[in-house]
Amino acid sequence: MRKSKLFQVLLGLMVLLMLAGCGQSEPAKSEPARQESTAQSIKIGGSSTLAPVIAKCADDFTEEYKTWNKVDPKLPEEPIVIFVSTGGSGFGVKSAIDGTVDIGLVSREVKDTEKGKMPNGKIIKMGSDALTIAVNPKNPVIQVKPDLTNDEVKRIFAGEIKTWQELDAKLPARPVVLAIRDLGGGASQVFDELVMKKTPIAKEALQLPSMGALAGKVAENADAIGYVSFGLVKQNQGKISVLSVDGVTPTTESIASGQYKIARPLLLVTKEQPNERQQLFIDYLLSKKGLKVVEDMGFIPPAK
Amino acid sequence: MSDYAVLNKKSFHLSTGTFCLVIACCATLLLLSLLVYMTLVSWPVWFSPGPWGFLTGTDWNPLAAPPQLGIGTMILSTLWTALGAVILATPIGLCCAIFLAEYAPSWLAQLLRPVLNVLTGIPSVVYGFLGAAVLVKYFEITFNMASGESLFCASLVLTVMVLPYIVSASESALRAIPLKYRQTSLALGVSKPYFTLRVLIPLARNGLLGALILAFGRASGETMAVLMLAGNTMVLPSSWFSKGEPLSALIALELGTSEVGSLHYQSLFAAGLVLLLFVLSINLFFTWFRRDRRNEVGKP
Amino acid sequence: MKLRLMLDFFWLAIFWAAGLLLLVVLFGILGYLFYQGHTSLTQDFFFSSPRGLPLGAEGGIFPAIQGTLFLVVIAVFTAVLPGLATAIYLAEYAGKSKVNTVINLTIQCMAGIPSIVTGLFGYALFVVKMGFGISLLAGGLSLAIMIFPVIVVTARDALQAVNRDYRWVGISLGVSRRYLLSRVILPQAAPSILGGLLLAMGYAAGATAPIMVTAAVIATPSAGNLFEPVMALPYHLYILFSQQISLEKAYGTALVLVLLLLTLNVIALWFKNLKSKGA
Repeated sequence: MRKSKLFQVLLGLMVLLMLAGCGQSEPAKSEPARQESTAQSIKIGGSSTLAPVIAKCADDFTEEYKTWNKVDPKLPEEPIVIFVSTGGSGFGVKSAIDGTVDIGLVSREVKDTEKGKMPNGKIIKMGSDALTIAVNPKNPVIQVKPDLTNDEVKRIFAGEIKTWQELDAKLPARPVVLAIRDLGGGASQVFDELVMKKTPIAKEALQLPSMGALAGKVAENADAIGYVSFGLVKQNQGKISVLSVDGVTPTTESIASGQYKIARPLLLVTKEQPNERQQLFIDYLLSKKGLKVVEDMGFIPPAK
Repeated sequence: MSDYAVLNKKSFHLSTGTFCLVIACCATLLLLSLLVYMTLVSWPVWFSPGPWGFLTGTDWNPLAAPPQLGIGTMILSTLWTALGAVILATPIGLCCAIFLAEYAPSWLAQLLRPVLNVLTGIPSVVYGFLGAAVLVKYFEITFNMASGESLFCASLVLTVMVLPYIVSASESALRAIPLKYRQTSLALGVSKPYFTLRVLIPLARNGLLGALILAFGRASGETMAVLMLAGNTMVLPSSWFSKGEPLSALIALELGTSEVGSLHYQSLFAAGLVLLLFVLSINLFFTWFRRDRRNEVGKP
Repeated sequence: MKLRLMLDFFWLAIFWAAGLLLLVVLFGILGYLFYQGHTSLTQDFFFSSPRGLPLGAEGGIFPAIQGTLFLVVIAVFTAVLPGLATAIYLAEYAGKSKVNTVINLTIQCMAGIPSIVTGLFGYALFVVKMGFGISLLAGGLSLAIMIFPVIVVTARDALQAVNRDYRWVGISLGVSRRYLLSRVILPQAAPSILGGLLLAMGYAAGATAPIMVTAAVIATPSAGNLFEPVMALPYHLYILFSQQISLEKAYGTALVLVLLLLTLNVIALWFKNLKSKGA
């Protein structure tokens, strides 16, 4: 009879599961559980430009201290757990507001409407970055016309200049392949504000899901042009070439001084005041070690 | 045993049959709730651009002011890729199915079925990755294209992905043909290929068509492979070799970045609903086809 | 007559070619993946976390393997009992009623739901509405919705394949239905049901679309908490490739995924053979 008993146990389990299922189908308030779990760990997410930097820092931080009591003796001996996810600046702000992440990563200015939703929050500057107008090193445009005007950039991205020859007669008659970020990227909004100024980007443009993918596209496609983050240009030294805009070449100095116009901040945002642990990690990010990673990744640390 | 003592027979008044029925009904409700929920979330979209505007509009910029919500380009891209895949996979799939049903020695058939299973099981992200790493590069180098991603590329990879579905569904359609036709043909001394082409295929026509419809539904819903290969541009695809952004890719790209409750979010749900309804209607169509086939042959 | 023979031969060749093409495609894919990926399959790759700049360029995929296993376990655990119950109802109790037709149709429709739509639904329901956040639980439940129809269909077919005679004998002996089911039919069908479960597991392990919006992140030390996000193999592969982090590691990850799937498939086959021997 053991088998049938077993079957009954299974049935009992099913009933329990069903009950659980019914219980869940009401809008369950699992908030306490959430609170508990967020106290244990730090969730960070957003900008695909900044996420690799933070992921690296989080990794170093965890390696260095392992448990919280090593960071601060007052804290209990619990393992440090930090999650980093990507998804774009839009995702960073959105998730910080709705509480899916504790710290949002944003690589553009935070809009006032967004600030309004996070009245008690903090916005911390991790550094600056710029959008460079990047092409493939094989592209003869580097020798022929290494300097574009803002207007030329605009016309290229608006799709008015369809082949390289239309930009300059000496260039081959090959199509211009535009590489851009999708809507959720901070870069697409920054570029829109600073360069396109409401002119729509050509529909032919390839939308790429992350800054890394955009840089990769430019690095592998001889006809591509895209707005690649300054840090990624540095990371891919030799695989991506940069054009000047209005006579200004993007360098660490010209970006920091504000000479190079298409710059953007790299920000951390929180909805509420960060709790003790989050604050400790933010402090680490802003310490020498954290800012060194920012620099290693090719971005410009905030001016002291 | 003592643990089980609590659950003795008397504490169960529910008969197994009823119990299973309840659960099975819950499954039905799940599908319904999914549909209802998607409709509720996307509700405002069906008013502001209206269904017609939403489906035929070709401008998609939900963050602009005023927002432009039209998924016509994505719908077209989805159709291009899925149809292309089915067109490419049909001849190969049918020949495979015929081979399996009629010609393959049993040891080979025994080997091919697991192969089909594995092909079905290979995750779509792996297909997409291989397609992007190998095919796209190949296209760029061979045809000197500006960039190798295209709807055609996505179709090619989808072809391999839907092939197993076509093969297994077609094979079962072919096997459903009653034995008497085979015996008659043999008695008349007709050669096997002739019998296959002139007797078997016409008889199983509806089943085979059903298989293609099923594959079409599968191909339209595929996400990762398409996301990595179609190129993701907002241009209205004019040919098979242009780039595009199928519906599934649009949702995958933008869901993470849309603010919950915003119009953007709602319109993504509307797009999801469109995709879901499209695939569901294809599925229902398939069922109807199969029922049709039963009426034609195989009546005992 | 000659022409007819030629034609026949021609068609024969075509059919054979098509059949062999399948083999070529599969072994081509596997071979290429192995050729490109086997160099990165070191012990370190399996048992260490992603490292390097950008993260993932060096190191391993241990958290991703862990995360995928957790996701699959949750999905199967959630879906298996309702799935089995539905299958038992369809195969044993429904007969040829209207209800049977409706449920069968529903299951078939559910099987056709595009995975990204499952992800959308999971995101709206589990992540946003119920407030699980981007978490293992939300991902596991989304996957459960996805594999539920697979479990139902395989289990239903397995139950229906059990020889009818057993049922007649059982009924004529006056054995209760439940006893017959639990002592005769289920044990007979068990290997096939388990095989189907394994296939469903493989299906869940490889699904990317549902988890990329509900559960997966780029980096987390280890999985295990239901309300925490996880890394997952398919998503990790997508990130490695699409962000141009490391092609070599991407091939390694893809190979691991495919090997996992092959293992599941082989075990499922073994179960099937077990059954044919035992019957």
